[in-house]
Amino acid sequence: MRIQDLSERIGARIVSGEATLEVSIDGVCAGDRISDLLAQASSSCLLVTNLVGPSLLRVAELMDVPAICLVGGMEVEPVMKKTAEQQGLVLLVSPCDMFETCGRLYRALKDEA
Amino acid sequence: MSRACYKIKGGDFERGGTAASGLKEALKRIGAEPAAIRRAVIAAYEAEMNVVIHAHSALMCVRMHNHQVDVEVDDRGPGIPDIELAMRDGYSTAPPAIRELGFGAGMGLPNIRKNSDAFSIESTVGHGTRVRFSVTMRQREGVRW
Repeated sequence: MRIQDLSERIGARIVSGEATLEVSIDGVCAGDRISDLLAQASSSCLLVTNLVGPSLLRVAELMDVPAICLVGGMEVEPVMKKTAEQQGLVLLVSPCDMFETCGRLYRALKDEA
Repeated sequence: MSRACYKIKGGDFERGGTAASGLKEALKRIGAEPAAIRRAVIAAYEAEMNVVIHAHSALMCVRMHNHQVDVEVDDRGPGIPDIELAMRDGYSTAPPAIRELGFGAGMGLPNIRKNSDAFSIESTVGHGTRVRFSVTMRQREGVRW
Protein backbone atom coordinates (compact mmCIF):
# COMPACT_ATOMS: atom_id res chain seq x y z
CA MET A 1 0.00 0.00 0.00
CA ARG A 2 1.26 3.49 -0.83
CA ILE A 3 2.52 5.45 2.17
CA GLN A 4 0.20 8.28 1.17
CA ASP A 5 -2.87 5.99 1.37
CA LEU A 6 -1.70 4.38 4.59
CA SER A 7 -1.17 7.74 6.30
CA GLU A 8 -4.70 8.78 5.34
CA ARG A 9 -6.17 5.50 6.62
CA ILE A 10 -4.60 5.93 10.06
CA GLY A 11 -5.14 9.69 10.25
CA ALA A 12 -1.42 10.48 10.47
CA ARG A 13 0.18 13.85 9.89
CA ILE A 14 2.95 14.02 7.28
CA VAL A 15 6.01 15.82 8.64
CA SER A 16 8.58 15.13 5.95
CA GLY A 17 9.20 13.21 2.74
CA GLU A 18 6.28 14.38 0.60
CA ALA A 19 8.35 13.47 -2.47
CA THR A 20 8.39 9.77 -1.60
CA LEU A 21 4.78 9.21 -0.50
CA GLU A 22 4.22 7.05 -3.58
CA VAL A 23 6.53 4.34 -2.23
CA SER A 24 4.70 1.16 -1.25
CA ILE A 25 5.10 -0.64 2.02
CA ASP A 26 3.89 -4.14 2.83
CA GLY A 27 4.59 -4.51 6.53
CA VAL A 28 5.04 -2.80 9.87
CA CYS A 29 7.92 -3.06 12.34
CA ALA A 30 6.86 -1.68 15.69
CA GLY A 31 8.89 -1.32 18.86
CA ASP A 32 10.92 0.85 21.17
CA ARG A 33 14.21 -1.04 21.18
CA ILE A 34 16.77 -0.14 18.56
CA SER A 35 18.02 -3.74 18.26
CA ASP A 36 14.48 -5.00 17.55
CA LEU A 37 13.88 -2.35 14.92
CA LEU A 38 17.24 -3.09 13.33
CA ALA A 39 16.47 -6.81 13.17
CA GLN A 40 13.01 -6.34 11.62
CA ALA A 41 13.46 -3.31 9.40
CA SER A 42 13.53 -3.56 5.61
CA SER A 43 13.07 -1.44 2.51
CA SER A 44 9.36 -2.23 2.42
CA CYS A 45 8.36 -1.72 6.04
CA LEU A 46 7.04 1.16 8.08
CA LEU A 47 8.80 1.66 11.43
CA VAL A 48 6.37 2.54 14.22
CA THR A 49 7.92 3.75 17.46
CA ASN A 50 7.90 6.05 20.46
CA LEU A 51 11.61 6.69 19.97
CA VAL A 52 12.95 9.91 18.50
CA GLY A 53 16.46 11.11 17.73
CA PRO A 54 19.50 10.42 15.60
CA SER A 55 19.74 6.69 16.31
CA LEU A 56 16.24 6.07 14.95
CA LEU A 57 17.09 7.91 11.74
CA ARG A 58 20.35 5.99 11.50
CA VAL A 59 18.51 2.66 11.70
CA ALA A 60 16.23 3.84 8.89
CA GLU A 61 19.24 4.83 6.79
CA LEU A 62 21.14 1.59 7.38
CA MET A 63 18.14 -0.63 6.62
CA ASP A 64 16.82 1.48 3.70
CA VAL A 65 13.53 2.04 5.52
CA PRO A 66 11.24 4.35 3.50
CA ALA A 67 9.06 5.67 6.33
CA ILE A 68 8.77 6.10 10.09
CA CYS A 69 5.56 6.69 12.03
CA LEU A 70 5.89 8.31 15.43
CA VAL A 71 2.97 7.85 17.79
CA GLY A 72 0.99 9.80 20.37
CA GLY A 73 0.75 13.00 18.31
CA MET A 74 4.24 13.97 19.37
CA GLU A 75 5.92 17.16 18.18
CA VAL A 76 8.92 16.59 15.93
CA GLU A 77 12.07 18.60 16.61
CA PRO A 78 13.15 20.75 13.63
CA VAL A 79 16.55 19.01 13.51
CA MET A 80 14.89 15.60 13.18
CA LYS A 81 12.60 16.89 10.45
CA LYS A 82 15.54 18.39 8.57
CA THR A 83 17.62 15.19 8.77
CA ALA A 84 14.65 13.09 7.62
CA GLU A 85 14.18 15.44 4.64
CA GLN A 86 17.86 15.09 3.76
CA GLN A 87 17.56 11.30 3.90
CA GLY A 88 14.43 11.34 1.71
CA LEU A 89 12.63 9.64 4.56
CA VAL A 90 8.88 9.95 5.15
CA LEU A 91 8.11 10.95 8.72
CA LEU A 92 4.53 10.51 9.89
CA VAL A 93 2.95 11.31 13.26
CA SER A 94 -0.04 9.29 14.34
CA PRO A 95 -2.49 10.97 16.73
CA CYS A 96 -2.97 7.63 18.53
CA ASP A 97 -0.81 5.64 20.92
CA MET A 98 1.26 2.64 19.80
CA PHE A 99 -1.54 0.12 20.39
CA GLU A 100 -4.19 1.94 18.39
CA THR A 101 -1.78 3.01 15.66
CA CYS A 102 -0.75 -0.62 15.10
CA GLY A 103 -4.40 -1.69 15.15
CA ARG A 104 -5.27 0.84 12.45
CA LEU A 105 -2.26 -0.15 10.37
CA TYR A 106 -3.13 -3.83 10.67
CA ARG A 107 -6.70 -3.17 9.52
CA ALA A 108 -5.57 -1.00 6.59
CA LEU A 109 -3.03 -3.54 5.34
CA LYS A 110 -5.42 -6.47 5.92
CA ASP A 111 -8.22 -4.75 3.98
CA GLU A 112 -5.91 -4.26 1.05
CA ALA A 113 -4.65 -7.85 0.99
CA MET B 1 41.45 -6.74 -0.92
CA SER B 2 40.50 -3.44 0.65
CA ARG B 3 40.76 -2.07 4.14
CA ALA B 4 39.23 0.90 5.93
CA CYS B 5 39.29 2.14 9.50
CA TYR B 6 36.81 4.37 11.32
CA LYS B 7 37.23 6.23 14.58
CA ILE B 8 34.36 5.93 17.05
CA LYS B 9 33.87 8.36 19.92
CA GLY B 10 32.17 7.30 23.14
CA GLY B 11 28.98 9.21 23.95
CA ASP B 12 28.58 10.60 20.43
CA PHE B 13 25.06 9.49 19.54
CA GLU B 14 24.83 12.05 16.72
CA ARG B 15 27.58 10.31 14.75
CA GLY B 16 26.93 6.82 16.08
CA GLY B 17 26.41 4.53 13.09
CA THR B 18 28.75 6.43 10.76
CA ALA B 19 31.16 3.50 10.59
CA ALA B 20 28.38 1.00 9.88
CA SER B 21 27.11 3.35 7.19
CA GLY B 22 30.59 3.49 5.63
CA LEU B 23 30.78 -0.31 5.64
CA LYS B 24 27.36 -0.56 4.00
CA GLU B 25 28.37 1.80 1.18
CA ALA B 26 31.66 -0.05 0.64
CA LEU B 27 29.88 -3.41 0.38
CA LYS B 28 27.26 -1.99 -1.99
CA ARG B 29 30.00 -0.53 -4.18
CA ILE B 30 31.61 -3.92 -4.72
CA GLY B 31 28.24 -5.53 -5.42
CA ALA B 32 28.03 -7.76 -2.34
CA GLU B 33 24.76 -9.66 -1.90
CA PRO B 34 22.05 -7.72 -0.01
CA ALA B 35 21.44 -10.40 2.66
CA ALA B 36 25.11 -10.46 3.60
CA ILE B 37 25.31 -6.65 3.59
CA ARG B 38 22.39 -6.62 5.98
CA ARG B 39 24.05 -9.04 8.41
CA ALA B 40 27.37 -7.21 8.30
CA VAL B 41 25.72 -3.83 8.81
CA ILE B 42 23.60 -5.02 11.76
CA ALA B 43 26.66 -6.55 13.46
CA ALA B 44 28.79 -3.45 12.76
CA TYR B 45 26.13 -1.06 14.04
CA GLU B 46 25.65 -3.05 17.25
CA ALA B 47 29.42 -3.11 17.81
CA GLU B 48 29.71 0.60 17.08
CA MET B 49 26.90 1.56 19.44
CA ASN B 50 28.42 -0.59 22.20
CA VAL B 51 31.43 1.72 21.99
CA VAL B 52 29.25 4.86 21.94
CA ILE B 53 27.35 3.63 25.00
CA HIS B 54 30.09 2.04 27.10
CA ALA B 55 33.58 3.08 25.98
CA HIS B 56 35.71 6.21 25.58
CA SER B 57 36.80 5.62 22.01
CA ALA B 58 37.55 2.89 19.50
CA LEU B 59 38.88 2.09 16.11
CA MET B 60 36.78 -0.08 13.80
CA CYS B 61 38.82 -1.67 11.04
CA VAL B 62 37.17 -3.46 8.15
CA ARG B 63 38.93 -5.77 5.72
CA MET B 64 37.23 -7.17 2.65
CA HIS B 65 38.93 -10.15 1.02
CA ASN B 66 38.12 -13.52 -0.53
CA HIS B 67 34.36 -12.99 -0.30
CA GLN B 68 34.54 -12.25 3.38
CA VAL B 69 34.34 -9.14 5.53
CA ASP B 70 36.44 -9.07 8.69
CA VAL B 71 35.63 -6.40 11.26
CA GLU B 72 37.67 -5.58 14.35
CA VAL B 73 36.51 -3.08 16.95
CA ASP B 74 39.19 -2.26 19.48
CA ASP B 75 38.04 0.08 22.23
CA ARG B 76 39.53 1.97 25.12
CA GLY B 77 37.04 1.72 27.92
CA PRO B 78 36.09 0.05 31.18
CA GLY B 79 36.26 -3.50 29.82
CA ILE B 80 33.88 -6.34 30.62
CA PRO B 81 34.39 -8.22 33.90
CA ASP B 82 32.26 -11.24 32.95
CA ILE B 83 32.10 -11.91 29.20
CA GLU B 84 29.88 -14.98 29.57
CA LEU B 85 27.29 -12.88 31.39
CA ALA B 86 27.62 -10.02 28.89
CA MET B 87 26.90 -12.44 26.03
CA ARG B 88 23.55 -13.49 27.52
CA ASP B 89 20.42 -12.23 25.77
CA GLY B 90 18.89 -9.44 27.83
CA TYR B 91 21.86 -8.76 30.11
CA SER B 92 22.88 -5.10 30.13
CA THR B 93 24.69 -2.64 32.35
CA ALA B 94 23.40 0.41 30.46
CA PRO B 95 21.92 3.12 32.71
CA PRO B 96 18.25 4.21 32.47
CA ALA B 97 19.07 7.30 30.37
CA ILE B 98 20.56 5.05 27.67
CA ARG B 99 17.59 2.69 27.81
CA GLU B 100 15.27 5.60 27.12
CA LEU B 101 17.08 6.06 23.82
CA GLY B 102 16.16 2.52 22.83
CA PHE B 103 19.49 0.92 23.75
CA GLY B 104 20.60 -1.24 26.67
CA ALA B 105 18.24 -4.13 25.96
CA GLY B 106 21.09 -6.60 26.28
CA MET B 107 20.89 -7.58 22.62
CA GLY B 108 24.03 -5.94 21.24
CA LEU B 109 26.69 -8.61 21.67
CA PRO B 110 24.27 -11.52 21.00
CA ASN B 111 23.16 -9.78 17.79
CA ILE B 112 26.75 -9.39 16.62
CA ARG B 113 27.32 -13.11 17.12
CA LYS B 114 23.98 -14.01 15.51
CA ASN B 115 24.70 -11.95 12.40
CA SER B 116 28.26 -13.13 11.83
CA ASP B 117 29.92 -16.36 10.72
CA ALA B 118 32.86 -16.02 13.09
CA PHE B 119 32.95 -14.07 16.34
CA SER B 120 35.38 -13.50 19.17
CA ILE B 121 35.63 -11.12 22.09
CA GLU B 122 38.39 -10.40 24.58
CA SER B 123 38.42 -7.81 27.29
CA THR B 124 40.66 -6.43 30.03
CA VAL B 125 38.96 -4.61 32.85
CA GLY B 126 40.20 -1.04 33.05
CA HIS B 127 41.69 -1.11 29.55
CA GLY B 128 39.17 -2.07 26.93
CA THR B 129 37.48 -4.65 24.75
CA ARG B 130 38.26 -6.10 21.35
CA VAL B 131 35.45 -7.61 19.27
CA ARG B 132 36.17 -9.40 16.01
CA PHE B 133 33.65 -10.82 13.60
CA SER B 134 33.46 -11.98 10.01
CA VAL B 135 30.63 -12.27 7.53
CA THR B 136 30.97 -14.54 4.52
CA MET B 137 29.53 -13.38 1.21
CA ARG B 138 28.23 -15.68 -1.48
CA GLN B 139 30.33 -15.49 -4.62
CA ARG B 140 28.65 -13.39 -7.31
CA GLU B 141 29.71 -13.03 -10.89
CA GLY B 142 31.46 -9.79 -11.67
CA VAL B 143 32.13 -8.89 -8.02
CA ARG B 144 35.73 -7.91 -7.43
CA TRP B 145 37.14 -8.10 -3.90
